[in-house]
Amino acid sequence: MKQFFYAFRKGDALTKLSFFILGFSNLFRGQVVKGIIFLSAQVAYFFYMFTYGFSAIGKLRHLGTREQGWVFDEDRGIDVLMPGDNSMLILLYGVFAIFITLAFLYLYKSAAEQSYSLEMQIKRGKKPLSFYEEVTEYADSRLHKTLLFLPVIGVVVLTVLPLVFMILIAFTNFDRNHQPPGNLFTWVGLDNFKAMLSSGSVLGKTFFPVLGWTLVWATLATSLNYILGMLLAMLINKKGIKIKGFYRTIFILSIAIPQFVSLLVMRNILDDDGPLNVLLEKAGIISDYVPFLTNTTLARISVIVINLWIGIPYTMLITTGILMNIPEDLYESAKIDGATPVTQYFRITLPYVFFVTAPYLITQFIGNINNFNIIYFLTRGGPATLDYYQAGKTDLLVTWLYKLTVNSKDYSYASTIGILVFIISAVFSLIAYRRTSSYKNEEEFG
Amino acid sequence: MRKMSTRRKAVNAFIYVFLSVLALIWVLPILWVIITSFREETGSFTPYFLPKGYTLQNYINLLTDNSTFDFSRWFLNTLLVSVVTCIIATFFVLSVSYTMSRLRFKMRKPLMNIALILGMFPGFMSMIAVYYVLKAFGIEQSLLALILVYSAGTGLGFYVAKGFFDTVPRALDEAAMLDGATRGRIFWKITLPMSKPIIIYTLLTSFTAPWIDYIFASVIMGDNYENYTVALGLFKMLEKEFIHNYYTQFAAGAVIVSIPIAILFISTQKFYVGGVTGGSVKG
Amino acid sequence: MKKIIALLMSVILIAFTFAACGDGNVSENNNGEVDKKETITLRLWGAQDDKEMLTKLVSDFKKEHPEKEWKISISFVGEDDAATEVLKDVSAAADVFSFASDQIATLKKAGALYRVTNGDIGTRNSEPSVQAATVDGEIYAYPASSDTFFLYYDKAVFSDEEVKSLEKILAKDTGDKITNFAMKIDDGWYSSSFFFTAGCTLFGEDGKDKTKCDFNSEKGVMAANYMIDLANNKKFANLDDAKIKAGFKARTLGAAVSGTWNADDIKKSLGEDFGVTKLPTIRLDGEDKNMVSMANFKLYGVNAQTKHPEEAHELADFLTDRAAQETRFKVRSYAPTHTDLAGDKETLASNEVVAALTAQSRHSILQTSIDQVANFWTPAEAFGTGLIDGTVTKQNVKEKLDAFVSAVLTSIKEEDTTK
Repeated sequence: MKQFFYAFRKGDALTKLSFFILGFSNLFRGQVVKGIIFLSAQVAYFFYMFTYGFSAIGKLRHLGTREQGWVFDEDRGIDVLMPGDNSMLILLYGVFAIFITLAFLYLYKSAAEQSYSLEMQIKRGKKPLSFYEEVTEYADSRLHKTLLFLPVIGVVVLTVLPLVFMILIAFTNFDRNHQPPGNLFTWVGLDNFKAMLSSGSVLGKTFFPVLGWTLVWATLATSLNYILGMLLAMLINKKGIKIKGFYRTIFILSIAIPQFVSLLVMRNILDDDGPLNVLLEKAGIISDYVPFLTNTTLARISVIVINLWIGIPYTMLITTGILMNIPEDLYESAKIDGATPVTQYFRITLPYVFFVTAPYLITQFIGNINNFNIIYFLTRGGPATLDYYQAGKTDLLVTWLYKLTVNSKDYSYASTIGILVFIISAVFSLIAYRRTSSYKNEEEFG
Repeated sequence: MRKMSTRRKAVNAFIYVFLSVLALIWVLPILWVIITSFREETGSFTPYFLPKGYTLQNYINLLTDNSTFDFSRWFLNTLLVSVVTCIIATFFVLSVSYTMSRLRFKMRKPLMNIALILGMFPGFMSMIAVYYVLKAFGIEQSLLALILVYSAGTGLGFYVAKGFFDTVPRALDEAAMLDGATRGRIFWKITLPMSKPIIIYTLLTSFTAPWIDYIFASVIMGDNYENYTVALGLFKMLEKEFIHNYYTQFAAGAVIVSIPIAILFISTQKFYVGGVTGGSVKG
Repeated sequence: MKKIIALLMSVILIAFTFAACGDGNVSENNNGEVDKKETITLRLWGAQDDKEMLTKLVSDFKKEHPEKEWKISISFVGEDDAATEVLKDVSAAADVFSFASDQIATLKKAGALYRVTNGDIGTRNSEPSVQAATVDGEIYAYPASSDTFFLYYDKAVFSDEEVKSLEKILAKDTGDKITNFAMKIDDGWYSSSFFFTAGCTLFGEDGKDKTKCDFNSEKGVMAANYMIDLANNKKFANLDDAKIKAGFKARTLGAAVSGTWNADDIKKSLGEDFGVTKLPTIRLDGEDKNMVSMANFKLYGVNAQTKHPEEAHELADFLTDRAAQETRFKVRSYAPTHTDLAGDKETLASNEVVAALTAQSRHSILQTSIDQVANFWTPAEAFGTGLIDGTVTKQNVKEKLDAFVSAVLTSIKEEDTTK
C-alpha cells in the first residue's frame, strides 16, 4: 500500500495519469501489448460494473424487494407471471460482483505500481522488457504464477465463491418459509446462531445432543481405529508369521471397494431381517432379531464397529512401515531391563508410532467429525427420535446439515451448522497442531 | 530354550487362528455381495443365507436391459468423467505441489494456510451454490459440469504429492540452474520424468472420485438420467419401488464397479502410506 | 510489471459473469402469441414405473394436437421427491410434473405452481380430489388418481371372513413360520390410521390448522395402547414394502397393509391365493371400527416458470382427463378421480385391487396438505420406532404422545406460527 501512494506522489504526469487510465504509462513507454491488456481490462470492468455490477452489489442490501406476482389475463384466460426478485440469485450475483471487484482492485494496484517502476526504469536508462521477454519470465522466475493460475481459478470459482455464498446464507432467513422464487429472504444478522446455540430453543435442543454424539463418535472412531489397527499391524508383522502379504491384502479389501457400495451393503446385512440376523438365528444364537440399526444404543455401536471394518486397515497400512522402522535395539535393551510386552508397547511402540502419525490422527479426527458417508449410507441418521428436530439418534452435525438442506430446505440453519462445524474443527486442529512437534517441521506437513 | 520355542509356537498358532477368523469376518460381507450378485431369486432379503439358485442373468440384465436403468451408459459416463477428471486433476495437483515444494514466493505460506482452512468446511455445505454457479455458466446437468466439480478443487489436495517432491533431491535442479535452464524447463524436463510414481498415484486416486461420489452428482444431475454416474444409478436401484426387483442387479453393479476400483487402490496403497506419513516412511 | 495473471483472471471472470447475467437474471415473460406450427418444447416429470404409460399418453397428446410441433421429453422424478427436486431450482424443473398431494402447500408457497383457471377440473373430478388440489380457495393442480392403502392377504392362510377383523387375523394360529399381519408402523402414512380410527384429527377437523393435533388426547392414548399391544404381538411384524413383497413371495406372510404400487409383485407371488380387500376393523373401546386410512392424490402441476403456460396446462389437462385416467386404471391399477369413472362401480369392480381401494376410500380421510405436515413424518417415525423397540410403554404412553404432538406442531421460530 505504501508503495502505491509513494508511486502516486513521486510519479510524473504520465504515471499519475496511469492511476486513472490503466496501462497509459505502458502504452507510451514501449509496452504496447501490456498497456492494451490493462486498458481493456479496465474498460471491461467498468462496462460490467455500470451495466450489472453496481446494481448487483446495491441489491445486496435488501436481497430483493419485489415479490413474484400474478396478473390475470382476461383474453388468454390464464394468470401471467410477474417475476419478482430472486433473493438467492441476487446474493449470488452480488458475491460474483464483489469477487470481480476484488480481482480488479488487485490488478489496479499492481498496474499503478508498475507504471511508476517503469518510469524509474526508463529514467535509469534501462530498456523496458518487451512483451515476449515478459512472457518468458512466466516459465522461469514467475513459474509459480503459471503453475498456480488454473488450479487457483478452479478453487476460487468452485470452492471459495460457493463457500462465501453459503457463509452469507447463515446470516439470512433462507429457510423453508422463505423459498425463492415465490418468497424473498433477507438479512437477519446473528439470529440463526442465537437460535442454534440457545439451549432452550427447538434447534438448540437438537444441536447440543447431536454435537455431543458427534464428538463422542469422532473420539471413539478415531482412537479405536488407531489402536486396533496398530495392534493388527503388529500381529501381522510379528516374527514367525508367514503370508503377511496375503493377510494385508485381505484386510485392505474392505477399504478398496467404494464406500457407497460397502456401506449400502452393510446396511442391508445389519437389517432386522438381514443376512446377519438370519445367520445368527440359524446358528441358534438368538431367537429374535437383533435391532442392529434400529435401537439407539445398538445403532451407535454398529456404526462404530462398521467404521472399524473400514478404518482398521488404514491404520494397519500406515503403521506397518513405521513399526518396521523402530530400531530393534530399543526392544532388546528393554527386554534386558525386564520389560513385559505390554510395557514395551506403551513405552516404545506407541510413542514412536504416535510421534510420526500425530498429524494423521488430527486429520482423521476432523475427517470423522465430517464423516458423512458412514452415517448417511448406513443408518440415514436413524433411529428417529422425538427429541430432535429433523435429526435421528446417529446423525452427526454434517448429516443433519445435509438433511436440513435436502429434505426441509432450511438452508440458513444448514449453513449455520456448517460454520459451527468449521469453528470446532479449526479450533481443535489449531490446538492439536501446536501441541505436536510436527507443527514445526513445515517441510513435511505444511 | 525348548520351552520358549514351544510357547512361541503356541502363540503363533493362536495368532494364525485369530488372524484367519478376523480375515474371514473381513471378507464375509464382500463375499455376500458377490454371492448375491449371482442369486437367482430377486428381493433384497431372503430368509436364508445362501441362495437357492445361481445365475448370470443379473449381470446380463444389468448390462443389456436399459428399459429402466441404463447401467452401461452410466458406466461409460463415469468412465469418461473420470478419465478427463484424472488428467486435469493430475495436472493441477502436480502444478500446485511442485510450486509449494520447490518454488519460494511471497504468497506461499498464506496460500498453504488457506488450503488448510478451506479443507475444514464440510465439503457439501455449499453444494447448492456450486449448482447455481454451474448454472450461471450454463452447464448444469452436464458431464462437463461434473468434470469441473471433481477437478476444480483438486489443487487443494496437494499434500501427498508435495511430500513426494520434498523428498526428491534438489541437487539436480541446482546443477541444471547453473547450466542456465529455466525453472519451467526444470519442471518439465527434470522433475516430472522423475515423478512417475506420484503421477501414477495422482492419476489413479483422482480416477476413483467420480465412481464413489453420490452427493455432488445427485445435486448436479437432478432429473437428467442420461448423464447419471454409476453411483447415482446404483443408489436409485435401492429406492423403495425398485429394491425388491433390482437388488440382485444392484449387487452385480456393485461388483462391476468395485473390481477396477479395488485393483487401483491395492496397487497404489504404498503411495497413500507415504503421503499421510509425510514421506518419513519408506515402503 | 507483474500480475498479468490477475489481469487474465478478471477478464475471464468478467466474461463468465456476462454469460451468467445474460441468462440467469432475466426471467422471460412469455407473450403467448403462437405462430402456426410453432415448436413447443415441454418437459414432463413422472414416476419411473409409469414410463411406458406416460410415453403412450404423450404420443396420444401429440396426435390430438397436430396444430403444433411438439417436443415433449419425459424424465423420471417420483411423486414423493417432486417437491424436493422442484424446489431445488424451480426454473430448471419440468413444465408439468406429478406430485403427491401433501406437497401442494409447500410448492404453492414457494411460488412453483401455476394456478389452474381454465377447464372443468373442479367439476369433472371427485370432491375430495379437488379439495386436495386446492390451496386458499384456488385450484393449483390436476388430480390424476387417488391413493390409499388397504389389505393384501394370502387366501391360503386367511379366509375372506377372517380378514375383516384385525383381532381375528392376529388370533389365528398359523404356525411358527408365518407372520399373520404386517404393517409399517414407523411410518406416519400408515400409523396415523390407528389415531384416525380412534377419532383423532391431525391439524384440526379440516386438516388446515397448523396448531392442532389431538393425538395425545384420551382417544389418542387408546389408539397408542392398541398399537403397543400390536407391536408386542409375536404374530405382527413391522415390514416395509420390499419386505412385504419378499414375505408374500416366501409365503411367510398372512396379511399386510400396502398400496396399489405393490399389487403386481404380490399378485405374481401369490397367484391363485392372491387376496385383497379393505382394511380390517379394530376393536377400540369395546366397539369394532373399520380402520381409517390416510388418502392422498397424485396431482399434476404446471410449473410457474414455464415458457409455454397454455400448452403446459393443455398437457396437464390431457394427462388427467377421462381417457388418461382410464388408461391409468387399466394399465397401472390407479384409482380414478374422474367422477364418470369413479362412479362406474362395475368397471372398478373388475379390478380387484382398485375395488379394494375404492372400498377403503369410504373409510379414509384426506391427507392434510398444509406445509406443517413436513413436520409430521419424522416424529411419527420416531414414535413408531419407540413402539417397536419397546421404549414406548403403557406407563409412559401419554408422555410420549405429548412429545410426539409437540414435535408435530413445533416451529423453529415463534413468529412463523402466527403467519
